[in-house]
Amino acid sequence: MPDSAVIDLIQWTPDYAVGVPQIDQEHQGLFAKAESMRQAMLVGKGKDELDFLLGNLVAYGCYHFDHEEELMQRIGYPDIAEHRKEHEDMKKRVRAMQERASAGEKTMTIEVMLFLMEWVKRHVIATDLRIAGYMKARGISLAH
Amino acid sequence: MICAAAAASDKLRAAGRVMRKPLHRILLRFERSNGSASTGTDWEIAADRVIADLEELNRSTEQDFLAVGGKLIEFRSAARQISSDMTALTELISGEQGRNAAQALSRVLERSNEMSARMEQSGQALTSVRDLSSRIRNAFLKLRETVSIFRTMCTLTRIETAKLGSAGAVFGNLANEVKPLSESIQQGGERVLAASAQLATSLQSALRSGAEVSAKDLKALQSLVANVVESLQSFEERQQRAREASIRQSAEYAAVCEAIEELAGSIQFHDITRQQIEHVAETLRQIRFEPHGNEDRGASPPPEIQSVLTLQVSQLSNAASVFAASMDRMERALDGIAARVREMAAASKTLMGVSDGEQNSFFLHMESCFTAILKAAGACTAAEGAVQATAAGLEQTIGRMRESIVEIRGIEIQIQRIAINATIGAAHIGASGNALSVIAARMHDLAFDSNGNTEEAARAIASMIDAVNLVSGGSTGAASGAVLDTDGLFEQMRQAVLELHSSSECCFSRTKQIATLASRLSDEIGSVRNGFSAGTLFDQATGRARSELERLGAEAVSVSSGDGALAPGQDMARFAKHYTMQRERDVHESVFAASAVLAPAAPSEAPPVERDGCDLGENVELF
Repeated sequence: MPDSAVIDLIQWTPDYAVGVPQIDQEHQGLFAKAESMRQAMLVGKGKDELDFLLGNLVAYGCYHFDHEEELMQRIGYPDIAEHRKEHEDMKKRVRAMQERASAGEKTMTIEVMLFLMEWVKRHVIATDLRIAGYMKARGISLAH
Repeated sequence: MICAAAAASDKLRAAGRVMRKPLHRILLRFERSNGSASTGTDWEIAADRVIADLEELNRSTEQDFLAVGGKLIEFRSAARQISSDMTALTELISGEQGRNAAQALSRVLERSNEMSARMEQSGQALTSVRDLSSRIRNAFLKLRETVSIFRTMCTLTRIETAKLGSAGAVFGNLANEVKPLSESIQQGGERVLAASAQLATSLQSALRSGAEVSAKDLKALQSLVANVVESLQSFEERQQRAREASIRQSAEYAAVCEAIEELAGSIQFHDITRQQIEHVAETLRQIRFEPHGNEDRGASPPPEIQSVLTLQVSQLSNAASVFAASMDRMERALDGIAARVREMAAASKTLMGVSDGEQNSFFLHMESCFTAILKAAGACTAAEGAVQATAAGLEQTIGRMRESIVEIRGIEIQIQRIAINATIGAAHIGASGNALSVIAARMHDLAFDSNGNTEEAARAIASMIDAVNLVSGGSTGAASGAVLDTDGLFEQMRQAVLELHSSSECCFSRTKQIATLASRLSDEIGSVRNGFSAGTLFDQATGRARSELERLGAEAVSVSSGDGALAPGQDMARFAKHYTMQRERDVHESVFAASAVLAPAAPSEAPPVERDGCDLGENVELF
């Protein structure tokens, strides 16, 4: 069987940039985590990565969402409550998945991967980019 | 290599011709041509503009085509990757891994059935232990009454012995021995009854636990197994379809690779048109810097270049038409490839049920089935462990009951023996010993009856031990409560499910990768296709050049009227020497033929176009 070359499929591109270096770097980190999980699953080793990934995601959810919320407050983003609710929802889901994994449930990598992809698609590419749009519309620049 | 050699040869020949001119004029003209602003007569400036425009056209199309070529190489590599992924997916589905997954699922089913059978067996064994315990309780129910009768008998023995005086001395021991023995029977029986009550409580709990397993987890497990069987059937059908589809798609992707390679090869048409344009520019440069006979014609083009200009216009027209037709073919080919890849991306996604919503994904469904199986199997194993722990407790209780029964049995035999001795003693005394004889016989019968019940209890105990052994799997380790998963049934099942899950996650990721790569490839091809501007640019630039050359040609004709200018087609042979392609020679010949028709008066002066010589160029057909 010809072995496939390693291909990065979940890639952050500048199109997804919010325009705040710290947030963008953290988003890139999320893409990298998702890609690393995808690579492991491609060779049937997703379960080996599960605990590490979920642990990382729980920590990531805490600091990244805090940074986003600080940013939204700083720029007076109007949809902050809705955005925060989305954050809480995601945090809950990640924690619930981590608890299940800690209790020994390992056959959940596809679910976790789909959740991650939804996070990337819906939250980073859609919701977070609305913050970028808001900043652009008001001429707010936090590039430095 | 041939192309490079021919081009180098062209350049050398051009340089040689140029070197035959007087040096100072050549230098002057090169200075003009290389200078930032064109100088010279009007027609020379116009020719310079055309040359510059054509050279710019060649530069820009060269860059465009290099970029397109690079993209096509990327597309080819992406298509190859997809093709290789499809092969990998086919292997996952139907190769060794696919077979392993199918075997793993069979093992899961086998283990589920074994587990189910074992749980049922344990339940039946515990129920029989409960029934046997009830038999033991019934057997010892009248034990207190029996002991009470023994006590009464002992009192009567003492009364009758006292009546006999010294003759009854021999019966003194009867009461003294039987009384404590009967009390021992009572104690032993009470111990058995207490153990039996304890056993009943344990059994109640074990049976409830077993019943719960049967009612909840076992049923859930069986239903899950049925679900997995159904999923497996659907999985097998899907595997079959996926196997066929992936083989078909693999071939189609290989065809896409070929189509891309063909396209990459076909974009070399650009080299043909580029050389045509280059040769036109070369010729224009040549006539632009050559000395011409009549220096008094002012800004007008020399009449002898008219036919050369006509030829260049034809070469440009031909290049434009070749370029447009090739671009059209290329765009259609790209559209075709993009559409094909798009369809295949969609097919790859639906192939394994990777829907856009994802929540109904086949893989997600399988994954939740695996999780549920492991949970139910885990619960069954835990319940089975609890039942086994109960069985281990039962073994201890039953052991104590057995000890008591052995003790009771011994006492009963002892009492019977004492009673027999008393009966013999009473017979020796004669009639005065009759009452004692009756008492001794009654004691004997009582002990005998009691022993019957004890034997019944002993048999029940033996059956209980067999039943409990069945629950604990006959293992001695079960008695200590250490064996929860004696034959690793659950572990085997867990491993099989994990293997299946790994296989599923591989298929899921591979399918997603194929779909994403294909969709990305299709988008990129579409984007390259939509970004094509070379056709329009080429058409515009060659159109401008043709108009300008036609204008200059018309001016040259008007100047030549009546002054004995060369006939059209004259002195064209030397321009033919640049040609490297048949197409250029064809254009040349057709223009020459047209000139001959237009100027029948001077047929002998038509340029000599020799097919067998080198006058029509190197005769190198490159593509």
